[in-house]
Amino acid sequence: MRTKNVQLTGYDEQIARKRLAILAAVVLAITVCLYSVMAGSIELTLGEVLKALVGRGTGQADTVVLGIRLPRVVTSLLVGAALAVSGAVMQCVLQNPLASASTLGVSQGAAFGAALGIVVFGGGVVNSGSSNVAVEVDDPYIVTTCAFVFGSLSTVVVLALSQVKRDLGPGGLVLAGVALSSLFTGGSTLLQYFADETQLGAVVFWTFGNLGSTGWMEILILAVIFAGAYLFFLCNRWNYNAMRSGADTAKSLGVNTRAVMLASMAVCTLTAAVSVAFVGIISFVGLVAPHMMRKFVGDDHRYLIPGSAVAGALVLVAADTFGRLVIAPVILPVGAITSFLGAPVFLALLTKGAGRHD
Amino acid sequence: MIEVKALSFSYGSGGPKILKSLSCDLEQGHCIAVLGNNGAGKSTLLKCISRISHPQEGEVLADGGNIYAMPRRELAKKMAYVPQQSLRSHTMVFDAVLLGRKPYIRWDAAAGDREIVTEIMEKLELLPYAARYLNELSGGELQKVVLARALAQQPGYLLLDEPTSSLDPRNQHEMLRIVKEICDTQKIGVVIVIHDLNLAARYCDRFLFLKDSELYSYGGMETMTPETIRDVYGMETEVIEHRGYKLIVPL
Repeated sequence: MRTKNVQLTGYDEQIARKRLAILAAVVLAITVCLYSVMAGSIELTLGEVLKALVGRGTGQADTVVLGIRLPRVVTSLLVGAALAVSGAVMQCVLQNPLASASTLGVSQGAAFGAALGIVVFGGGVVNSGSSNVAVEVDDPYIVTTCAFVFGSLSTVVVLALSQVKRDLGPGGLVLAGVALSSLFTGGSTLLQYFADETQLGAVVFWTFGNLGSTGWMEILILAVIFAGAYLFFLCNRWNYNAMRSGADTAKSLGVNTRAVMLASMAVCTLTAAVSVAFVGIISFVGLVAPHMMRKFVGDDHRYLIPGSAVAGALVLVAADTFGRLVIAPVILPVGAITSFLGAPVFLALLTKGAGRHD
Repeated sequence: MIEVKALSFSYGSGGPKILKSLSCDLEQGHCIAVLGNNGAGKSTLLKCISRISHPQEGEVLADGGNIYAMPRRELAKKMAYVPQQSLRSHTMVFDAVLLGRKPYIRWDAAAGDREIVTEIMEKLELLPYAARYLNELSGGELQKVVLARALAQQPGYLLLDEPTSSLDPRNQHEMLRIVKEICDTQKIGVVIVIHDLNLAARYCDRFLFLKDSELYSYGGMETMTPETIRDVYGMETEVIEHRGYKLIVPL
């Protein structure tokens, strides 16, 4: 019995390390969030920020913290976490380490849908009077629905391809994603060509990614959808672990693999599409964050799901803060920053053999 | 008992039949070898029995219940399947075996699940590997882990698809020795798809021969004859006895 305990100590230590890694990422994310709220054209102290957060701040600090920076940081947290968790789940259910909303064309489809909702169905208008070009979504339901429909279209095509041509492999699926991205980017370009000046601004906006245009209503919608999706993913974490061992093993363990895959992809698409509908295309977070976290917590979805959520939130808040401050007062589009970060990781994964058919 | 009744299977509608109206009863407490040429339908039979594949015709009853109508979770408590090839992931060995408790887990693994897993890993001498990762293991070690995961399901029937195909001779015997011991001591039914007739003769007590997608013969050691082997595999052999074991020697 003594031997048994001693030998399991190593296992328990590893589990403790995984929990510690997630906790460290949480602490880091909180630190970056606080810094992001403090830093900017109006510098605030930690005390001023904390006072504003508990409703005892000065007028200016209140406006800056509660009206501008906090919504931006909360949006980054939610969108980053949503894209990252969706990426982790897509990579598992499609058995494809390169899968994410942006590599499978879901983000581009959703962006096209969102632009279509704004331009053709009158779901939003552009206000360009302020220093930042901002899109106000007049009817978030039209925009979100359009984003979801076209994001789903990418998912349906990718799923159909993976079912019809089972020897396609991870690289093949990503190539399908590239083709779909081109198609939807072409669609967005056509919309731009026929759009008037105001509509043109709106369409271009979705291709940049902007975390500064969301109000508390959009944040509430994002939060509710993310909370529901996160709960769904957590409830399925044992199913994902089983599927990670191979489809036949998962079936033998009592998992309805097809149902879990279809439901998970639908939830991933909804989460990614809603994120894109409100903030535009944010590439590679869904790819980078789960792979970052795998280094610390492995493939076990009991830890990978919460870990990816924290890592995604951290990456996006950090990227947005960097984009906001590096050449202030000009704000760089966050989509470009995450692409700069993600492309090398994507290439590294390819050279490591992740794109090969396992 | 697993009752296979008039099972027919083909991939896609109109495709060639991989199994043709196959019927047999697989008894608990026996180690049953499924034998036959490549493409005879051995692995497909195993997949149909474990509901991984769905046959077009026929049914499979496990202890009287139709497996295709049974809740998946309940079936997973009755039968465990070990695939030919297992995926390596960055998962710790203990967690990989703990996954076998999935049919019993509602929200998270309980202390009882952990105890069962520890016991099985101790029996298979896997405890020293508990904190190692699957992608660091050798083929033999990985196969043992996969077997341990299947045993953690506490099944009445263990279905193994060519469990020794990627193992060296020492590990092949080690693997089948463990399986045989489990079959004898726990009285569970073991069904093994296997190519090596000598390993089958040594560790199994029932032999199910498939030929051209149909059942050729099913029975005890008396069915392992040069005539059967000639008909099923198209090769001449001699069956001799050496130190109490039957050996199949190709001529």
